[in-house]
Amino acid sequence: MKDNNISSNEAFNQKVETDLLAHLIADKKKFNFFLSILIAIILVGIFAYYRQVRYGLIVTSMRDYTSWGIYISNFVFLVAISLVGSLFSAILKLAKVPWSTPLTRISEIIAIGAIICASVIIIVDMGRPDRFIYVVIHGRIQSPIIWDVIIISTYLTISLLLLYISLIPDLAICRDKLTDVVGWKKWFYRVFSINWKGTPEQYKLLHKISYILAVIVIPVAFAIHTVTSWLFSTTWRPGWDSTNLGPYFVSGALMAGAAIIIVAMYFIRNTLNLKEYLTDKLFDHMGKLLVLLSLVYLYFNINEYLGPAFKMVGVEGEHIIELFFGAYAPMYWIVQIFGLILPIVILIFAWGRKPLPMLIISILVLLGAWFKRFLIVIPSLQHPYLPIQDVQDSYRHYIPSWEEWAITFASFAGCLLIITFLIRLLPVIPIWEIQKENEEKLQES
Amino acid sequence: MKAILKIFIGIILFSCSGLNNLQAQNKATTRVYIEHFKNRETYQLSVRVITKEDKRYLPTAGIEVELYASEISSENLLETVLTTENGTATYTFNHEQFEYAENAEVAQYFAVVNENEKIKGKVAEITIKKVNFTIRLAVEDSIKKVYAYVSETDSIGNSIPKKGVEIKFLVDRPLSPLPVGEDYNVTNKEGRVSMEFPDDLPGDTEGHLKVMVRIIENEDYGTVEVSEVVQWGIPMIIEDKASKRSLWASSANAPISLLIFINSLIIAVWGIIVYIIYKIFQIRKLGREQV
Repeated sequence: MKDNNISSNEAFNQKVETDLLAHLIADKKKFNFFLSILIAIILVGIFAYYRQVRYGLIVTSMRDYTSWGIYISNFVFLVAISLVGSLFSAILKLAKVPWSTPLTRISEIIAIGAIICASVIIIVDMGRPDRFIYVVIHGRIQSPIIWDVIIISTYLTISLLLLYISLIPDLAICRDKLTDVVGWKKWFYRVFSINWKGTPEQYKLLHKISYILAVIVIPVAFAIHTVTSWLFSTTWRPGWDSTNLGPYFVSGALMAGAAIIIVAMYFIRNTLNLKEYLTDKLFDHMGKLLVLLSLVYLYFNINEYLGPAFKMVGVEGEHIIELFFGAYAPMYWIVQIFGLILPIVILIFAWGRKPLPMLIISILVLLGAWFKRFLIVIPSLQHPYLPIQDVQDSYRHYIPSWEEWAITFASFAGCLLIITFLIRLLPVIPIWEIQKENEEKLQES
Repeated sequence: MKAILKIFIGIILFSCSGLNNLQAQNKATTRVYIEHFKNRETYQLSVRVITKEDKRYLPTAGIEVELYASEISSENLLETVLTTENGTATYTFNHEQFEYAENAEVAQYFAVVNENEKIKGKVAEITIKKVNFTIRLAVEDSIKKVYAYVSETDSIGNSIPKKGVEIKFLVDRPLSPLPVGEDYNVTNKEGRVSMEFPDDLPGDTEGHLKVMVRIIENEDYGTVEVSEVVQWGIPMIIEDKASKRSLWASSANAPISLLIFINSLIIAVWGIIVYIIYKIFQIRKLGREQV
């Protein structure tokens, strides 16, 4: 019986390694094609940014009142997406949710891609990026902007560590098994697998620091999005002057994070032939998780709008009317219905939790999440407490310029480029953890 | 034949004169206003130029205005000024011109806008008589009072009080002077007018205020100002908020509690990060020992 278990375990391990390393040595044509599209989008964005640096922020549609445009709404969206790393690598891991194991690596990779692009986009938003260093040199610790700079750099570091630590045994597998890859990859696997031999002492240390990181990443992840929300709530504008904003942002971020994992799962499962690992059952679990997170977000949404809508006080009331019935009403209701209500309704049913419906719903959730950030940022800025007087008409409205769109799309492309590159370089599902779980199952049986 | 030729030439000349008239009509009508200002240290001329556009007169920027004293001639040219966006320009007399203005019993000034391809020319003039304008500040029965006295000097040196001159009482403030007292104050037959000065105006840190009394846009004297600094204000206590520890102070004056809280968090989190990196090196070392 014991010998059978050992041979079955070895066969399983062999199969897992073959399956999960296959894409690292597969044909590069599709990958290169996708990469070239992303690079083209990024180049257009770089040209738009060159124009912005050359001529100043006047090339954008941002003016005195709408001084935070889609750059900041995009920044908030990317920060929100980055929270997914903590959701899977910490919250679900510490809660010992067994089905989440294949998703930890994907979530960590997405978190890194998103947080790097969020950091870049915040510098893009600066009219004088050469003065960014002044934020570090002359920054005031009392300012939420400084808190944001500190927390973003901390979260990026922890996310990198989180990804790297869980990668070490897999990098050793790559080092040992992938002998036919190009030289720099060999070097990369050899150097970064840091002499991993899989000894009990090494495993003991690995588990210890993984656990510490999993614990520490949760408050840091909550802090990163709460501090982002404080950038708004410490500014006196209608719609932002709310104590609800921190949990409202965090719950929205976790929902968007779950949605992007589903989208990533769908494409990875189909392009890398990983249906055996990213199963229909896993989609079902993710669907249930997304419903739960959407319901939490719905709760905070009601909290966010019910109070001001009931009171309808002054400019706060004007802002609500603008969202409910005014120029932004179509966007607002589409976002609420298709990006929040409809996903909850569909995902309640088992047929809605199949891969394709889940993909469509998750894309709707993500689009809703992006436009929701737009609705949080722009209409509030257009309703200052002091009346807008004696200004050009362009100051009263905000329609992003082509440069802003190009840079925004470039940030998405940049995020996808990082994710694609890392997927191409690393095992996308943690091999050693899958093997370990199987071994534990066999031992139990 | 000669008669026909004369008629033909006549028609051509008439047509040409019509064309000239048309060109002249296309030029914008100009209006020029000139004002004179005087106080103890300064003489100033202010001009304002407006031109007719679409049946409305609008301030015109970039118009050259020549300012003359006594008569319009090159030797009497004071200065050529350029109007700003609100159509105005101000010129302050130099020392020599100041002397002239001080000594002249009656001074005459001209503002000349020369015709060009866009606007018609215009001249404005102002005549300023010499005036004796003095003030006295006194506290009578605990009431602070400001007295103003306006007179002219006749040819034999007698002072002749001027009745009916409108006076404004003001206090110098950071953005613009603050009117105090009644809206309408005129001198009586003795050339005098007075006002009760309010007790509740904030002054500088020692309570100093600059009391300004003006004859405003008078047709004989222009605008004349006399001022005096007096300790009639409430001393202002300036709270130096920036040097106290607060959320809105400079970075060097951040609240201690905030500094302790944030730095503790940073040290704790980054301490753990450093510890983890150290452990990663330990894993590496263990692997090397195994080899």
